[in-house]
Amino acid sequence: MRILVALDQDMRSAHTLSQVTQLLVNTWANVTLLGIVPRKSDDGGVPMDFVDTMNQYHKAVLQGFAAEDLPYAPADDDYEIAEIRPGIYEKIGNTHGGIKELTVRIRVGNPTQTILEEAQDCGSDLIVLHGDMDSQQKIATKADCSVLIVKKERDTGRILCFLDDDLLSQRSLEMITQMAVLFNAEIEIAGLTDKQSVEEKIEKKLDWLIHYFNGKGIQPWIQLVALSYLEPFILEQDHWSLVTMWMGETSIFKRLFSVNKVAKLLESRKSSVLLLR
Amino acid sequence: MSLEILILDDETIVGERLQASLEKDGHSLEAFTSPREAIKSLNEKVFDIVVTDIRMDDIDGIKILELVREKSPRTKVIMITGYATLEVARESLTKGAFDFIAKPFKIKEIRGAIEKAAHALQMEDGG
Repeated sequence: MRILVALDQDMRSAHTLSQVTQLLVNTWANVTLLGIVPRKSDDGGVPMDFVDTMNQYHKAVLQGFAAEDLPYAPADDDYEIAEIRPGIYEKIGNTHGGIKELTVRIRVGNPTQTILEEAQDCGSDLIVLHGDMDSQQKIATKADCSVLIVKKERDTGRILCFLDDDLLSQRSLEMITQMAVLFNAEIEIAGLTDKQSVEEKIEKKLDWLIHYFNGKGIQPWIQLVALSYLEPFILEQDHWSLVTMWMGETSIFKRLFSVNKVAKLLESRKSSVLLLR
Repeated sequence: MSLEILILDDETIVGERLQASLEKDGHSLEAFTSPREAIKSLNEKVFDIVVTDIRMDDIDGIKILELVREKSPRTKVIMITGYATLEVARESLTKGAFDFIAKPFKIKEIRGAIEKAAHALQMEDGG
């Protein structure tokens, strides 16, 4: 698994990083910590305070591991930030050389564009960002991979998954399983139906999903939700710590929800949101 | 370098995804969904690389790792898991796994791990 964590100097980034570190401790994923700055400093480089912040983030991730379990190269105070391509800076030093890669990068430019470009460049399976980032809704709707938007600090004891008649990818199911294991969380699946055309399809898919999760020792809770009631239903679900939605090309969320609606939905939620692709 | 690779995952899709890609790279592949069938093959033949899921209904991947390490210490074992926990990662590595990869993964991630394992084998074989 390869994870891209988008970070800024907001306090929420530190919380997001602590959540990601939990995921990294379990998965030993290859990870890129990506800092975004809108423009270069007056001397034509990256603002030094931001470089310091990224260095602190790097150290915070490593400190989440016991020394004997560290899959990444240990941090080195003797490092430099080099411009590897125009507008893309990378911490050079002891960041490579572990069993897994931990890359620290800073990109200058528009946050949405730089995050999406970096996700493409590194081939990320998951983009993680905090819920106060201005670009969250654009990333959520435009990314090719899954996106986790981390909201308020709370125990992730329950995961609510919305299921429609779109094709489920193996990758998205694997992502949910990892989240359930990571947070020791219960899974509830809400099958979305208009009671005419999709009900049979959804029921078949729910049966298949129950079988899939049971085979993995997970017993999901199941319910059906009418499409006409979808929006208020979502807004009622804030007691869930993590809400996941499939966002495939033909998914209901993609078909029925405009970018603005997704934006509103993401902004209004207190739960973290995982958009699966 | 053409390698003899065994892949074991009780989900058919994993072997299918890997088989086409790794055979294209010139490797010889045997893919299994049943740990017992895989063990039979491991008892009959020495593989350069074994890629195994950790959690399977029948026999878990850690047992496969132990068996491979006992029979052929040269073989590199890459563990894959859909249930990543710190304990599983730690146990895999302390028992001699070459790499640990959590699902979901892209084919290129497994290919990268296999390339690294091939390089390690070459170094150990004096090449």
